[in-house]
Amino acid sequence: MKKDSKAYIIIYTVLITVIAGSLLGMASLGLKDFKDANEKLELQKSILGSFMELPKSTKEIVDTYNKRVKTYVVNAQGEIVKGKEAASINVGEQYSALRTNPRGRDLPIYEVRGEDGTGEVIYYVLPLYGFGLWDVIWAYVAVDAKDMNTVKGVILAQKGETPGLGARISDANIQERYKGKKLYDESGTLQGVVMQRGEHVGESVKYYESDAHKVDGMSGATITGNGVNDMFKEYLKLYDGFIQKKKK
Amino acid sequence: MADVAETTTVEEVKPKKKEALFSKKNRRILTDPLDGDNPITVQVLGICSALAVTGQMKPSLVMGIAVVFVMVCSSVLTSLLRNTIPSRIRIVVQLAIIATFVILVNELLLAFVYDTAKGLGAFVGLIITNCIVMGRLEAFAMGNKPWPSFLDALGNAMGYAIILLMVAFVRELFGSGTLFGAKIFPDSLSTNGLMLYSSGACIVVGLLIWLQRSINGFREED
Repeated sequence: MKKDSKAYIIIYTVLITVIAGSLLGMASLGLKDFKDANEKLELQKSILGSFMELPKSTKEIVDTYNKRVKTYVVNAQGEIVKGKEAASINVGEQYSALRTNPRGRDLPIYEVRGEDGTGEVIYYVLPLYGFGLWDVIWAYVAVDAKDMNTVKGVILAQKGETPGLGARISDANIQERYKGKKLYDESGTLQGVVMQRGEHVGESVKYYESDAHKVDGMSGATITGNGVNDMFKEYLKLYDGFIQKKKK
Repeated sequence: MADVAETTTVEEVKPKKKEALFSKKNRRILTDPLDGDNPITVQVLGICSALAVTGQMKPSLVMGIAVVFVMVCSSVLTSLLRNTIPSRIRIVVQLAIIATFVILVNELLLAFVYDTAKGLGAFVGLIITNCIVMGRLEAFAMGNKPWPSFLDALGNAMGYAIILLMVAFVRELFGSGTLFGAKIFPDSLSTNGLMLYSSGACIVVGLLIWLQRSINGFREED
């Protein structure tokens, strides 16, 4: 067959497509377990990281998580939704439905117990989701189970924020500022935690120590900060039903 | 570029004469792109990713390694297939080969260096459109045997990676005061925010191009 004949070209293209396609298919299937494990570990790290120092080894992280954390799914009224797993819920995918149908959402809840994994629940870790400047951002906030108000700690994460500016939300020194802040004011209204404008380098935590709803800002990253603020108020509203229920 | 391709095609006519693996010519194929024929600073290719991923050393290193892998594999494969590829669809075939290896690399990165892979985001996928890769397939691998194609791809990819690392070195050091995430400058020294943006990278790349060309005395031909 001639190299430039139509038949040759068609057969050649089909062959290349089939070979490349099946190769990639096999690679994707073969590596799926690794990728899933990475994603799962990432989630477990975020959950644990929101209220404690992460253990060093991967095995310890997994063990601690399995021992201390229990998950379930609630609806906007705070009622447990049976038959759904927290890990299988794609918070991002559901996000677009937020404005139109907030009541129809499934909200994953991560319950944390004491170090031996028994007794009362000490923290509830709530996943939050929103938009920064360039792409999606998300957070895990650990709320003290005693008052359902005090923030034990947070993990903030981003996909495409500007390195050194908005991407700083994933730095420990930004997340530290949220420790001990309150979500509700004394009258029980949701105030959230609001990142302020301007940054007080070196005394960020101290500067807003007396205000339970304010944290120091990130200079040069106002829009990412607004996204974070949105998560800590607007998105948090979704959990209001659950929080009120637990308060009683 | 065209010269290289022509001379080597001529050589193909007399395949009986065995050439040493590291003959002078082969060594030059490997080392030229590292310096005098560097894809970024001399040919000014692959600029987009050089600006985008060079904020820090670690992603730049991973990106460099990914490009080396993709270029070497696709060059060798293209060279092996070069006599079977119909010339009318050769670009499509080259693209399919590159895309296959890029997706493979992306899968591997997601499986084994998850954090860095997430940081690189879309840019691994965009290796497909990196002009250096396809440029070398079209200009070299289509007309040469696998071994010289291997050296050519390795040289060009390393030339690319070296510049990437140089840019990242400057940007991370002055933009964040760190190298590979380790603190170099004390906190009291304020960092240069411009270096965090791609515009800062543009300036660094520009300076590198100037430096390289003034050392080598390279001039654009009219």
